[in-house]
Amino acid sequence: MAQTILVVDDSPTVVKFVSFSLKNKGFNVLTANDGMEAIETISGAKEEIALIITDLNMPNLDGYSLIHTLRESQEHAHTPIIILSSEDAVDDRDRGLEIGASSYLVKPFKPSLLLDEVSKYLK
Amino acid sequence: MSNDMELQQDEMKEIIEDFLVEADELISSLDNNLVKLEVSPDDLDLLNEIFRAAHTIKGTSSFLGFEQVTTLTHRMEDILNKLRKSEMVVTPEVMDILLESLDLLKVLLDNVRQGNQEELDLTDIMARLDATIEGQESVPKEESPVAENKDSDSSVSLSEVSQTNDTLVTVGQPDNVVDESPVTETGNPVASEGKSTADKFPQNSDLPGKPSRPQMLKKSSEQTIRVDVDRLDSLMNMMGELVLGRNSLQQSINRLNRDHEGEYELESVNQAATAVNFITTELQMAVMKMRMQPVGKVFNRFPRLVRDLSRETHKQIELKITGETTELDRSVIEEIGDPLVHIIRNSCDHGLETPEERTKAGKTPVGTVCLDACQEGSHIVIKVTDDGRGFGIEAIKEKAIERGLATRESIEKMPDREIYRFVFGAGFSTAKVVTDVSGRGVGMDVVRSNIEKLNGIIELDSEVGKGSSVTIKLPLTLAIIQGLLVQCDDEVFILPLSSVLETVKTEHSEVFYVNKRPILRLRDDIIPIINLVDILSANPRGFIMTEKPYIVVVGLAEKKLGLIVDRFLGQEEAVIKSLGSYLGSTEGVAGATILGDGRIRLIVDIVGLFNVARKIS
Repeated sequence: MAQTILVVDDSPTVVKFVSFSLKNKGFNVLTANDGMEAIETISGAKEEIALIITDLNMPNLDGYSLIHTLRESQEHAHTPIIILSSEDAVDDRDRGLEIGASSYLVKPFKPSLLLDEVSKYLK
Repeated sequence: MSNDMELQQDEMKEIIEDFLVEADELISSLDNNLVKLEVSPDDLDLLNEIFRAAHTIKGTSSFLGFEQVTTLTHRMEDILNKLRKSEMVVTPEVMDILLESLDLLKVLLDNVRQGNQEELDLTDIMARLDATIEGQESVPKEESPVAENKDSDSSVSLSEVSQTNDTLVTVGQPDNVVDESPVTETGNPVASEGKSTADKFPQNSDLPGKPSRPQMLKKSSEQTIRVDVDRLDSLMNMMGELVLGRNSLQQSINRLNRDHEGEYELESVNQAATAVNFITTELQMAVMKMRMQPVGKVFNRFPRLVRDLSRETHKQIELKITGETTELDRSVIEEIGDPLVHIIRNSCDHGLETPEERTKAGKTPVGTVCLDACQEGSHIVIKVTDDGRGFGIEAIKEKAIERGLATRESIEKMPDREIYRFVFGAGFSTAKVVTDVSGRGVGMDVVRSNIEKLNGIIELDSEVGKGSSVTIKLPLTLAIIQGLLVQCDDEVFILPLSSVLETVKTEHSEVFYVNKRPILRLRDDIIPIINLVDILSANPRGFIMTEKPYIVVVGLAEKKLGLIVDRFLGQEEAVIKSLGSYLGSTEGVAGATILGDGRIRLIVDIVGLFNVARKIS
């Protein structure tokens, strides 16, 4: 049974890029274009979401708020969350990790780097 | 690690194509929003949206390795971020450089699209972007720029450079120079609203749980698919065949009904035919709609155009856009942009006066250009109106006489509308119409030929001192036309209904002769008339006037022509089919179609018709 990963980014290009990379490795992928949609997707998902990859700067509900909301919830208090950000800023990273993200990757990155990061959490 | 981690080539290609589509949308929204920002510099939501668009392009392009795109957007983002944190203020100079960068970005993306590896030289723009950032940073300002700065200071600098106006695009005069403090003398006469900005600048953009905008763009990626235009064209083509088949089926059934009236079995045939009829019409509409795009796609570029023009010409111009959701066939959309640019440029450049002139004439200093689109039957009507000085009709008359286009006697009898038509003439445009409205009419003949290509109709109206308006009427679609069937001698011809202005049954007494050419007086219009047979038939009969002739008045761009026909037969949908290469260029014939009775009929080409008519006379 393939594990399911949720990819959240307001750029469809990034979503597709990450999805392709993950699907190639045999993961099942769900996608959302912003934090709001991510929450809708999570609550509507039939399968268990094993890991979440999210952008920070998004309309409607940004990445910080998404992580915050998920960490408050019961189901996803401990789900691994990887932040993908185009900001290589220590502030952003610290803030992200502080509110409960598991890792922080700066765009651009090679698919292999992301997959390494994912494999830290998923076997 | 093995290679299977990296993406396949076709996957990469698909991603890049997606990126280009996404970037195009973002850039078009940036174009508009930046112009809006200049008008409402303290709209934080707007700023955030702009920032996010630049940010997304930067992030995604870096992902795909388009370094120049990343470098450029990164620096734009720096400026936007400072604006967002009110560490910089919106000035025309800042906007100029942002918009210029955006233009360069379009070039970069075009290169990506065309697979052009060549790099652009960005040193100049980067240097100027840096200078803009530094230039403004040297401006003395509050120590803590974000939190609780006093209303007065920040609002002074903001309001001095631009007027606040929510929905309209108002562009102020250019004032200070780059690298100068924006708080220096501006000399801008626009009254400021002096809105408080401090209370709109909290650091709330990243606060958790506070969605700042309603969810309007939902899952756009999943609700639309991109389809090759060729496929749409072929669908349209088959649709045309279906319409022809339906028409022919309908005629056969009508005949059956006549011959076997009231027979039981006909009932079910009739029912089926009605259903097919209905569905075909629906299907035709649906296929047509698939090819339709909102005219806003074209209108979108005009706020930017007007903004730049107002900077160039030192005028204050407000552009009002309405009806941008009106839809047009994509082939028409592609062609309509350039003529509209000409018309709007004309209005801004020559139509509108400087603020001083306007004040002297008792008008508001801000000139208005309105752009409106709406649907009227099977037409789209696009109207560009300005409240400028208008065309000098006397000047046009003089010019027309000078160029030998009319005699002094004839021109005095002409209705105004007729006289304005001269403006669209080739050559009329390049000459100075008159000193005080110099150059007015530049490029109008270009506009006319563009509209002609689309089988459109153009009309100019004007009142000295009050302004002028240009009205363009375009057919909704070019592939399936509504045709007016007319009979001349034994031949039936089809006239595209979109070019038909009216049909009249007139009196012999309404026809006059000017230079031995017959003309029809219709209300206050004078229309040259010609026998349709003389143009299209193998046996021209010369101009013979019947007692009460039927005349079809057709229009093309600014011109009108009356066609004498023997009978009106009715209206039918026609699909234009080419005549094939050996007959293809017959002047006055657009193609042929198969009518419901199975016979092939010629469709009249209005553009060609006007050409032939000119030669005959």
